Amino acid sequence: MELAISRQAVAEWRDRQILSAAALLNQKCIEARAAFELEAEGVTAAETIFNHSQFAKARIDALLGASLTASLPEFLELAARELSSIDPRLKEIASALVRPNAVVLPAASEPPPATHTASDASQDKADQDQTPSARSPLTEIPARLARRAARIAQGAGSAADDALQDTLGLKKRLRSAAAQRVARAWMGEGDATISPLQQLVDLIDETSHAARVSLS
Amino acid sequence: MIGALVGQIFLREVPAHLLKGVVSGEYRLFGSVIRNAANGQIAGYLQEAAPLAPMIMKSAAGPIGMVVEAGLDGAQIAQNEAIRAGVARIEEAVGLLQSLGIANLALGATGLGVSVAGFAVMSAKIDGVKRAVDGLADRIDSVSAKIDALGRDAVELDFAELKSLSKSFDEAWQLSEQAAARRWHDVARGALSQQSRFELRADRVLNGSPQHYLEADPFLDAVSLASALRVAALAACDESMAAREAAADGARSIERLTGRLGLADLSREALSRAHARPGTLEWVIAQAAANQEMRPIALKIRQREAAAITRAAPLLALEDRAIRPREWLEAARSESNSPVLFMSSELPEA
Repeated sequence: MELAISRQAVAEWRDRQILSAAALLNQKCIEARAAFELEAEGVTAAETIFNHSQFAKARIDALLGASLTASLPEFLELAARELSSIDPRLKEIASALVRPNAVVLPAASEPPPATHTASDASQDKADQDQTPSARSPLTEIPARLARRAARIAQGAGSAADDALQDTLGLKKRLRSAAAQRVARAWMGEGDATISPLQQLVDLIDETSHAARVSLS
Repeated sequence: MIGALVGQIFLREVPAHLLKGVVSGEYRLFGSVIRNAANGQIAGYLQEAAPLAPMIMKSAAGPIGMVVEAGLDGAQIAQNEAIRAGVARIEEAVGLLQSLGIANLALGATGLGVSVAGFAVMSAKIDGVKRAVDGLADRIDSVSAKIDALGRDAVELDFAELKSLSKSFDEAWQLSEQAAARRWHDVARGALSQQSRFELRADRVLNGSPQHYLEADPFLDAVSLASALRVAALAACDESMAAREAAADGARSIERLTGRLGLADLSREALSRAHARPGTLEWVIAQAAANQEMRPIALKIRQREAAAITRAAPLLALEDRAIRPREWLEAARSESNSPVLFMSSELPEA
């Protein structure tokens, strides 16, 4: 009966840790999105007009990476201590939780350069060189116009920049890209890649399974 | 002998210090066993007794049955003061079960300790579980397909067989000791077969995924019922060791199916239905709501496991007191006052 009681304690530990991990990740994502909002207020159209999703990805990954690098070890340390307290025999199994790189976070990348890039130049050249047969579809015209507008706005004041961003809905697109990055890459919503949340759940799951087996 | 047991060995009330201790956390209930939370020492055992039957019948009848019986109760109370006292006792007992946090366990399919329920009660429990299985077919198409695949007729037959075993168990109390023992051995063998069949069904519906837990739940209740009947039959013919082994086997079956499932899995399923965007306050609220919704189901999973593990726990203590398991069951069956009997783990002074 004692072993069965300990196994139930492990099952309850697993529930607590998985739910806490999800709550922790979500809280950090809320904070990251708030910080991203503030940053987004200061960015110019030129920084984001062509690559808002890249920009959002780089900033969200950097914000969440820094935040979780600080808080995850503490979370896992506490989880390991709690598991060991159920039964001293679980100490070694619990130590798997605190091994380095137990959870691999998405690597933070540099935000894309804000200035006119080589790819922009080649794209402009392509725009100019287009023969009727090679002409891009009509759907690309707004994008070309936007790129030119951004270059014009680069030289203008911030009021013009704000107006341009409003017109093109850039802020909205940035926020949406950030929300998507958070939901998919970090919280594992509808994504094939293994998010940090899924890694945490798997880690807790495997640890609790090993603990239950050792208590059988 | 039986009359002497109740009141001396088996108390009609849980001692007040233990009740207080359970509320304060000094003692914890694991299945039907009260343990000291600090050192794990067993303080005593709870065992369902005959007066629990009307409460189980009401619970198994569901809301409609409750209304009908409430109406009958009202008429009877007006006619008979004795029944008023009986109702008060039942209310008191429900209060006790609630304060111990085991009302659902005691009144549900799982039961508290070795099952002493008569055929009417077992039949009501089986019907309750069967209704839950029937309800599945109307709920989700995919589940309906699963149940169809399992063969609805075969499921019906299994429930009918469980009922007939339960009736056979009950009838044996009227037989001579030898004939009764033979009958109970047959019931135990039949109950094992039913336990295995329902285990297989639960396993197939569950399919290793918490996603299907709610659909598998009635089959898990059926495993619990069959296992309880098997243990009761072996205990009734004084096969103490076999009863303990049967209880352990039932516990292993149930834990194999649900041991890896918990609130985290059930909550995740409920949360996915809420379509809340991760990384938002809306998600926080949805997670809290999902946890709240699923907590009673997760509790049921753990309580069912614990009840199965502790079902035969008092049998060793009975051996120490030189009390036959059959006497213990007879005492619980013939009890007319308390729906739950308590046996202290401490041996009474000679």
